[in-house]
Amino acid sequence: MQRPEIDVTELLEAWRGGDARALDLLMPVVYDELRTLARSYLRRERPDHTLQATAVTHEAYLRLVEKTHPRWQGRLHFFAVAAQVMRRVLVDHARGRLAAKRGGDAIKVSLEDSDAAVEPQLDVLDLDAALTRLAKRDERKAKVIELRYFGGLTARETAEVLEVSKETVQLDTRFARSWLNRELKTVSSLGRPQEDD
Amino acid sequence: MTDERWRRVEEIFASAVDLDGAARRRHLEHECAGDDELLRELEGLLEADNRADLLTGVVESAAAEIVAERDTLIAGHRLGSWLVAERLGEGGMSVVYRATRADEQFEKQVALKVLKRGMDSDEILHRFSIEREILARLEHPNIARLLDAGSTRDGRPYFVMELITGDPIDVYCDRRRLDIDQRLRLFAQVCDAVAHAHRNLVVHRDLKPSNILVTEEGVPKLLDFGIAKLLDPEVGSQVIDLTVTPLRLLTPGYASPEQVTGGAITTASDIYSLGVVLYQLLCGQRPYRLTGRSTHEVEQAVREQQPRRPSTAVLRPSEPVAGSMPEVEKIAHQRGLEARELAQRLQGDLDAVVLRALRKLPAARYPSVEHLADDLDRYRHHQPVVARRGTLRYRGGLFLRRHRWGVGLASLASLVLIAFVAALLLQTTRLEREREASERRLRLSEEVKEFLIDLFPVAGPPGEGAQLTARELLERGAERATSDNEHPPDVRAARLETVGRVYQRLGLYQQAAPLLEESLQEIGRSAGRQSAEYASGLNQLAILKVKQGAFEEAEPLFRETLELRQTLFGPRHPLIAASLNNLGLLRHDHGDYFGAEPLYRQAVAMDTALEGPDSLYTLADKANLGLLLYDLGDYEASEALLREVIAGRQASLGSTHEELAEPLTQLGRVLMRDGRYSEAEGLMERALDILGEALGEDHPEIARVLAPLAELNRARGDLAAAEVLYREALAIRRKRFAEEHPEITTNLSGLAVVLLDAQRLNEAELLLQQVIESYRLNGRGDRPDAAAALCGLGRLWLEAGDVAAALPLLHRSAAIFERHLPPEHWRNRELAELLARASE
Repeated sequence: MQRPEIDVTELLEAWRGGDARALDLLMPVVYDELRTLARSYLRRERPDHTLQATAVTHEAYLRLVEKTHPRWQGRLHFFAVAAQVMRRVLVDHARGRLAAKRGGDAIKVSLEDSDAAVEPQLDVLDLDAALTRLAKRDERKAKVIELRYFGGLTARETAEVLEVSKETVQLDTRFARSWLNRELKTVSSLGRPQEDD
Repeated sequence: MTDERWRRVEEIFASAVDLDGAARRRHLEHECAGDDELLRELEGLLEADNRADLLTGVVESAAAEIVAERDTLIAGHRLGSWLVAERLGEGGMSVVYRATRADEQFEKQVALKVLKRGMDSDEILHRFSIEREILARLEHPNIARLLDAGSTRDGRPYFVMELITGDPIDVYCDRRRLDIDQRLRLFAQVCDAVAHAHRNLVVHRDLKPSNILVTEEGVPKLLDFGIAKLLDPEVGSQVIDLTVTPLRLLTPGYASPEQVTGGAITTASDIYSLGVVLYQLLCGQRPYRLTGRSTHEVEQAVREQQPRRPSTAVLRPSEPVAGSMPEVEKIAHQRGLEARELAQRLQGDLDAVVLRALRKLPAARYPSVEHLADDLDRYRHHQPVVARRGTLRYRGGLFLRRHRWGVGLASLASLVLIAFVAALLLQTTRLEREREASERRLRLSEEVKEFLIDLFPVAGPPGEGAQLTARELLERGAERATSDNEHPPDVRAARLETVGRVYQRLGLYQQAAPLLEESLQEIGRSAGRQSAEYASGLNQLAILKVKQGAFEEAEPLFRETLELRQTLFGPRHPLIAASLNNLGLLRHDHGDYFGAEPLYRQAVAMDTALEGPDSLYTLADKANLGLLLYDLGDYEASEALLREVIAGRQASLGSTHEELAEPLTQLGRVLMRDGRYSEAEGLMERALDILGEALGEDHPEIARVLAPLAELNRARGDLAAAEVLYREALAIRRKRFAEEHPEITTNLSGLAVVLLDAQRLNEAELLLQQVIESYRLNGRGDRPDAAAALCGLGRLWLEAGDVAAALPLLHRSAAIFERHLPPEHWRNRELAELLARASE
């Protein structure tokens, strides 16, 4: 896999300047980095096999940006990109899996016969859909969730990126989280495994 | 919900979220002021605020999954000159993406298949670069092209192929409720594609519905051609069997018996898989009755179970789940018929065609995909299918193979067995003619009869004798004959010889040898070493040595026989004619054609004078001379002699006698030289029928027809069929012969030339080197057979552009041919041309 050297910082600047294509170019680079890092984190120190998004994102930043542009002022923009990448990656991946499982609807290319059991669970596709619904109501709240859950940003960092107060971010988080949790709960009660509370 | 209301919810939420219990309740009631809907909304949200947060779990588990899976690419990833566009799906071994060319020169959409597990991608890519040219030749409207291969940064191989959108063929047919005729037409296109690949010597190895997609327009497209071979770790490292697929890459339901057992994979393996697909398209079932789905069970069924006739499977589905009547009718309705009608439609011809493709033994299947397609075509045009003809040869093929001993002998009544052996004692073979006084032989054959009757247990329960296998009988006979101390030596010799010759007839030469040797000793003790009987014993043993390929040992035995007979009978005698013939044969088999010719001619002349021109003895001499003249390139004279032999033997032995097999085969070879291929094929197939019926399917004599049949297919350009036949002949020979047996060497040489024709230079080179070395070790390095291999290798270097390597080989080959063949022989002409080409 050969990829021409890409200057992440330059692309981030371009994106901040309004060039939407820059994000498309950034995605795979950031994605690769996040994945590599995430994998090594999992191996190293997380016996429960969960991912500490913050740590991963920060290290990705160090490697992709700070190495070449130590005094660059757009650190948080990088995190904002990382959050979007993370969300898109997780959603794409979940869709691919779903297509493979359903078989019937998707385009079929030769696949081996796979008997892997399908485990129904709340998935990121439901969250993504709910988040999109939320954005229609209140774009900022959806952004807050994306930055904090997919990007691992703190309330203060989120506030900085969105140029609002930290308190606003906190309240947004609390409200949006409740709203989303309720949405997901509704989804989960429709034929998915139920959790009692 | 209006924006205003949303703001209101948010506002109340913010003010209520930090209150608890009664205070929150009061606050809410106050704020909502009788708006029940608003109250419920807020209660719901606040309740959610108290509950465990689901979001973190969802994100983390999705992330964990993606991280655990090492090989996800996303849109924008670049592999070689390909840009990933989206993920299409995944299977057990690979993930497939839609991709485009990165240079954006044209918007070609491709499927990019990335393997999951770690395989040695360097090795695979190396193989890809070797195979690339062959795969590129697979240009066919029904084959998805394999365009490129490479490896990802973390070393996983990927393949790029034409992107096909469509349904697997079985799903397509069922969804559109295609009737049997439409299904057959679609399947015919699939056959056409596979046949195209086979003509280019590419075997698919993994044909199954998910690899045969049908597009919206109804065009079937075959995917993954050549990939199974590229993934095969055995390829490249093995010297001879370059075609063995490791099991784990197979789809058990569609793999052929030889794939499951690790045998040689040829075009016949694809024919088998096509048979399974056809089976499913016709009757909606799989061929085998299975209780579970474990790989092991499927493999066992593939190896051992006889597939059920599709017409039977339709009415009695094997899988319990599918066994309900509605399911049976559903399958039939998808074909526009009622279940009973469907069964009737399949019964007979279609049953026969499918089962022919599903034979366990590769050579018993259709010889090529074209033959399969032709047969289906015949069915569609209401002509009788070939699969139902020629069942003589294939009838119960596998059963015969596994229980040959049982069927061949033991199930016959004991008297039939004895008649068989007694007749054998008096029988004439190609090599040997005994014409001694009949009284002695009659007495001995009585003795032998009794000996054989005694082999059957008398005291046992009724029927036990019939249950003994012939092999057990023979082993018992061999043991009794060797440990016999009661009878006179001549009786002992006759018994030993009988058992030895039964073994020999069955092609079990190794078991025959000690018995015939001991028989000769006994004859020496009874009749003396200067007797006619001793000469016959010597002769018999020499014949066995020839069959075993031990020419060096046979020659002195034949010489001794001849000299002894000359001393006993004078210069002219039928037995001397026989000895001359045998010596001629030895020279002939040894590649000394010029030395053999006068011996044969003397034998013909002597027998003609003493026995008459039409006697079986004279005909045997003429048959051998006919073969020799073929080898010497005198096809006209050869044809005349062979036709004479066939006519003569038919007149006195009937038209199905096994002695007809060899002249028929040889006549076929003569006609082949003339380009009369189908006539020649007919003769050879007749020879196969005769031998299969008389000797069973895995007798070495069968290989002596399969190899010329391979030669014929090569001559008419059907390299795939030639390869299958050579490999099948080889498999039979390897079962009975040691690796250095000359027939194996010659067989490998033939196979190598086919591979050479097919431009599979690496494989051909390895084989030719091995063949040349074998000839050298056998002391036949300067004989025409070896010269043919040398010439092949020379041609190979010429093709590869290495003239310096080619020249000495061609010169050596030319020198040998000049010594052993007449100047006008095509071999000499061929070499002259090759040498001219080389010196350009």
